[in-house]
Amino acid sequence: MVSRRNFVTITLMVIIIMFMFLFTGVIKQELNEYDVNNFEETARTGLDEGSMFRAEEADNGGFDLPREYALFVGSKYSEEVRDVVKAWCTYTKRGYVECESLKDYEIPRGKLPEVVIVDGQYMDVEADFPMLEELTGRGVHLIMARMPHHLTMASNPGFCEFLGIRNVRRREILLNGVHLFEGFLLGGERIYETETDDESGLQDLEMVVHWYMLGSGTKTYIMGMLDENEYKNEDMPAVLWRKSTANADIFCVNANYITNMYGLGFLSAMMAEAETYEIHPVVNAQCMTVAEFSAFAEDNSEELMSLYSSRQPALYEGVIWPSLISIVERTGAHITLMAAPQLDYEDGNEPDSGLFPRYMSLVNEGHGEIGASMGRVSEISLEDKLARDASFYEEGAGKYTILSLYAGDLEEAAEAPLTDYFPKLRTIATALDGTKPPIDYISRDVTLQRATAIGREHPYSANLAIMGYETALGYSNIVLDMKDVSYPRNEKDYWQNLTRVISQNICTYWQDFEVFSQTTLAESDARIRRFLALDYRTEQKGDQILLHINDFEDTVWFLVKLNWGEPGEVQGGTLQEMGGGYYLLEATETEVAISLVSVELEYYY
Amino acid sequence: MSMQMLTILQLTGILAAYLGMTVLLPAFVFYRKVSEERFCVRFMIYLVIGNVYLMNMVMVLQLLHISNRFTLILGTILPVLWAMARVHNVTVKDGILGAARSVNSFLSGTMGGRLLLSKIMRFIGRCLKAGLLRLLRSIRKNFFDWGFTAGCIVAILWLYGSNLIWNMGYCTSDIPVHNYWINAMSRNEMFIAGVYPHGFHSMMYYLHEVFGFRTFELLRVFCLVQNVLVHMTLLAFLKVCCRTKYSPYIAMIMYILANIWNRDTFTRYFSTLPQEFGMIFILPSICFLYAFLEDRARENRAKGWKQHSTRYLLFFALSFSATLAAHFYNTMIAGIFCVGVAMGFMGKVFRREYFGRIMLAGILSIVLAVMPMAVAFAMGRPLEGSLRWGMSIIAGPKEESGDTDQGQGSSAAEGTGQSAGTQAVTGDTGQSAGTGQAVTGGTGQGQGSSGTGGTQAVTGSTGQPTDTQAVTGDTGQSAGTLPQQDGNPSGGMQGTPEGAAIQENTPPPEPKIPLKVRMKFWVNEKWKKTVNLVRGLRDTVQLRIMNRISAETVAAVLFVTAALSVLGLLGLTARKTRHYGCILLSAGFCLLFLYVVLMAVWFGIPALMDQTRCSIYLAYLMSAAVALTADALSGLVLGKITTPFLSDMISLAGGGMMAFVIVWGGIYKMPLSITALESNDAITCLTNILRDNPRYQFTVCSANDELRMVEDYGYHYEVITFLQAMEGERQEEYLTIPTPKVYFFIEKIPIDYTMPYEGSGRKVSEVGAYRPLPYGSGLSVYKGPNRYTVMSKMYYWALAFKKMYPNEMRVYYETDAFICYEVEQNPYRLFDFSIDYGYNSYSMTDE
Repeated sequence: MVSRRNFVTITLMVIIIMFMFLFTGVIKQELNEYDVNNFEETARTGLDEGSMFRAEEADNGGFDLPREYALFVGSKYSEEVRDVVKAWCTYTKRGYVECESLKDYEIPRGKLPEVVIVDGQYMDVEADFPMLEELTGRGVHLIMARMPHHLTMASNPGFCEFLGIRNVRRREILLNGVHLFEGFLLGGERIYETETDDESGLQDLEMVVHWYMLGSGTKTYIMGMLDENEYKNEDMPAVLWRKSTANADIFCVNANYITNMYGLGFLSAMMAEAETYEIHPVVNAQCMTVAEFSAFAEDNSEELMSLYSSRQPALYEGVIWPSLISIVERTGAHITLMAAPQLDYEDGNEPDSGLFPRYMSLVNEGHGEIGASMGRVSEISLEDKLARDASFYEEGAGKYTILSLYAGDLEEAAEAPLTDYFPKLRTIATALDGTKPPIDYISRDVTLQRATAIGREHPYSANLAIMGYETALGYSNIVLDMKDVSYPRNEKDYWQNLTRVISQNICTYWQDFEVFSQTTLAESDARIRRFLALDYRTEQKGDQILLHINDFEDTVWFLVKLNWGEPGEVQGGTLQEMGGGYYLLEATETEVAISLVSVELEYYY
Repeated sequence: MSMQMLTILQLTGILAAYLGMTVLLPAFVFYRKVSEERFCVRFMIYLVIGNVYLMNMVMVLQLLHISNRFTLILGTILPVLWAMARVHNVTVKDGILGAARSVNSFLSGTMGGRLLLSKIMRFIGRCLKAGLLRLLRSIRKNFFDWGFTAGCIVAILWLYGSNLIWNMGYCTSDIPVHNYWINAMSRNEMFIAGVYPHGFHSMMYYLHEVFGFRTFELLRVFCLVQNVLVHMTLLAFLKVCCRTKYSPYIAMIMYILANIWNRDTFTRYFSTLPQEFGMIFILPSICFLYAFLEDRARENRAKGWKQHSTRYLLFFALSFSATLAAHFYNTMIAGIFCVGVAMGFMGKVFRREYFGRIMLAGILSIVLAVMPMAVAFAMGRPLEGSLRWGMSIIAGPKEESGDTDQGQGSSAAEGTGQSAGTQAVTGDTGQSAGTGQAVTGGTGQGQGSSGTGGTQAVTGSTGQPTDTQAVTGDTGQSAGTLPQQDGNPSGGMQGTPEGAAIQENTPPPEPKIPLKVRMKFWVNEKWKKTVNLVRGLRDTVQLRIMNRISAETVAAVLFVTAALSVLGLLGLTARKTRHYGCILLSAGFCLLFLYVVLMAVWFGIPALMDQTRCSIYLAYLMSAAVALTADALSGLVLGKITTPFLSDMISLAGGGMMAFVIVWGGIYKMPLSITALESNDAITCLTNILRDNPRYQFTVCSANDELRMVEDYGYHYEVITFLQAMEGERQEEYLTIPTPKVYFFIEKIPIDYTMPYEGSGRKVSEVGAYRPLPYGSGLSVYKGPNRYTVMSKMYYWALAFKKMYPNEMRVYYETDAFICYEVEQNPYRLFDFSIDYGYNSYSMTDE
């Protein structure tokens, strides 16, 4: 028999326990304003394409100090290298000058170029060599973005010596792998060598190179790998090296790295090696975009039922979403969920807009963002798709503002009346294309954020690309295209296989860049606008590096590489160490001063 | 932290570790067994036991190739436990069972951790308390003794320790060789350069391995520790021998403070060398022999080995073996002293109940010391250079006889002096870089070529030391008297061709000389020779040992030491003082024999030891002799008419007077600054490098001593090899150094490595860099102007290389006279250090 006193006590305990368990859930639900896109206000800038710095149109930008500029020497066939160099100059706020040959180049009386970048593959060595000697003698750095033909090299020993080549050992050599040494790119050392057959698919770097033997005064950053038992390290083919002369440094790239946009990072890293310090602006944004997230309609039900014993909405809610959340929690990513109301517009299954608020709520809890995807499998125009999706968004999203879109086909998206349906559209994410600049304006008010990696595949070139993009821009955008899950083409597309690969790749290869901020596309859009509008100058006065920045809103970031000393006091910003001599500078004022202190070596004196 | 402070901390640590293992630990174990002995005897017992055990344990483990920190600690702890069990009459089994019970009760929870800890702490507290109380009692009882002893130690630390602060490099060039040998022991490669007494090296290795002191730091600092002990054993010896309380301090004041000694007699104390380490054990061995002779007399011819006196014999054997284990010269001195003891105690030593025991102990001690070397020799290790020389001395008469005979007149034409035993070893090892040869001139004048050891050896059957000749030149006779020592009255004639011609002709019959005339002539001759000998001795002692005082004062000191024997004879007259008299006599004989060794050339006997070395020991023992004489005067002579207390006071007054004279006369020593063979900057830089880098991840490219200093921690590259690789035919296609970091030591003002030269002290310059690179072997390329050339070239190489690699090469350490560059390179892709720096024959175009 329970006494009244005990009964009251037990009842109170039950109430308290229930309150404790339910209270947090209720509060979370009540306070979660999932139907409002917070980034609409918090990630807004007044910047548009008009404020963007472009290398070709560079003026001095109101600074007292002159702007550094690069001279590109390449023919009409050097399009890929030219694009990379131009983008690099734009991103690093350098001026850009171009000529086909140095034969007719007149050394300016005023400011000399900071660096000459030559596409060696199309250069006339005999004609250009004297001018290159002259320029390097005057302290202009030289980057051979590609090497001349081996016969040209063999017939010009003087030029070989100029580039630090002792002799040409062999015309071509097939490498076992490539060794990227620490301290060059952000992220550290990498060995791109396949040891097992399973890994053979990963090797997609250029494996056949000219075999040059280097002389003294050189430093190798990337080395081709041969059989260690047969060759000494010193004899192995150099892929990227530096030759120091009295006044300038000469960099040679014995591969096609600078033909890809990740070559941006190589150019920045080379400049960082050439000077005692290097500062260049970065976006500081790591995005994870889940594209074509079609959890709302029963597309491809037959196949999905046979594979997962559930239809698409249940599959996404019960299987895919928890896996994604697991990755998000492990990486700290801010997910940008690009909703696709449906992929098949001809199957008669309409999307359930009632599911949308649930994902809005979940995404909002994880500091994520919801956008819209432009993908579909039906033969329907983009305009029709937008029209049919409009009601879905009206019913499901309510007053939630869509700021970002994912468009696999950028040309199609450019022609579509996107702003009619998404009037506050700010940014468009698109698929990976290594030959185009990763960030830019697609229209006056809309930025473009190209994918820098796809989560499902990670060959060696993709790894190198991450390091290149991170070094140059501090930016990455991993795009997971879920259309392959809804419409699998082979076993690799099955979610149980895909999730393992995605999880491995994302959780592993981005660890070195944890210092960079995790952002949604709308957040990164704001940072990209500020980054593109940025202009700056640096100078060293004694033991201080001074950074002068033009006016900016909020905060901008720079990557600092110090080859001498360690940073001491920083005025106007804060520094975070990233390893390998790299630091991330968060500038909050237009004048930043970094004091250098010599490394305290003498513990005993 | 300043290097000075670091040196002091290192010294403190090494002193604590060494004394802890060789004095405190044996004291902890054996105190109960020897508690009835006087403190000074106990001190020597502990010191000998500790040193001999550790040295031999290391050598045994090394021969078994199982020497490492674990076995060394085990080899220390287990015997300690065993010995403690024996001393405390507990069987080992009981001890183990007791320990097991404690462990069991701890593990089973019967005894808690706190209880166990408090038990241990209480035990330690009890021991410390007991020790401290004893110490305090002793200080209260012997306040002046403790005060004087502390004063002596402070004086030693000040006089000999200051140099450690001022000059941090090795002060003698053979220390790197010892460093090398000790380093090899870390790899269980004892006797790496051949069989050689390794007692000293074993002790250094033990301290390095067990306590983690770096070998080069030990070799830098340990000299002061051993120096303190050399002096303390002298004090302990005198405390045992003297009848009065304060006479020993006369010797200490004279030896430590008086500025009367030739620098050569004590400059080696500034270096950590085996000979000086071995000096610690000379006087304890004699002291134990005295104790045995005294104790045995009380045993009334008791038979069997289980007698009280046997322990002294054991300690004598141990300390005698320690002298041999450390350095052969110490054994020679200890042996000479033993002969002196035999002479002084002639009445006892040759009796059956003494002689057999002493001989057996002596033989066993030699066997103990020689055994490790013999085993290694049997295992195929060759003899080290010094030992080959030692063997040649032993085998000398065979080779020398011919020469000596020739020199003594069988062939007068050749009788101008042949070399006899002409090879001497300089330094301790004689191994380093072809050093150490002494050549006797055919004209009878010996000239020792100074090797790296910076010592001279003068030998010769009929030769005369140049120095001595120069000094005695004023007598006008000394040079001419030498041939007369052969017993031929014709003197100088014998050594000339004319003399030979006369000998070949039939001599006319000599007229009969009256006996009285012959006697007078004979006496005159002998007198003249004796006077010459005494003058020669005085001059040699003045030159070699006491070159800062007048000849008359030297004569007075010699007289004082000679008075020892007279006072000894006086002591023999009374039964009560007979043992004391024998001690005095034996010390007197010892000095006499040492004078003979010093004057070996005069006597025409093979020089067992060069004069410089001999003078070190003589200075050491002459101080003792002066103290013994003073003690005999105050204790023996005045003691007959005064009370013991008054005698003590007289001895105290003697000591005070000695101190007063030294201070009043201004002849007190001041700390010396010994030129080191490596700059302080280099040592400081190296210490930082060792601290900053993990093992074997760096290379030091420098001129010399760092080679052995970094051996166990990193790699070393010779500067000369480095430069040669960029020169002419020796030029290498690639000059790589395969470590992530490479440090280049460059002297902007090159030091004078053992020899100054014209232009010493100037900065490196292009002029020096333009000079051709010196080619040669060993250290010659780093001496004199060669060093200037080498450093100039290195300096300009570094400037050129830094231009090529501004971000990879940086200044690591710099002062006005020294600069160290650090090059950080990728170990997978090494830099080619061979460059055209403008002052080499290398050129890209030529190639």
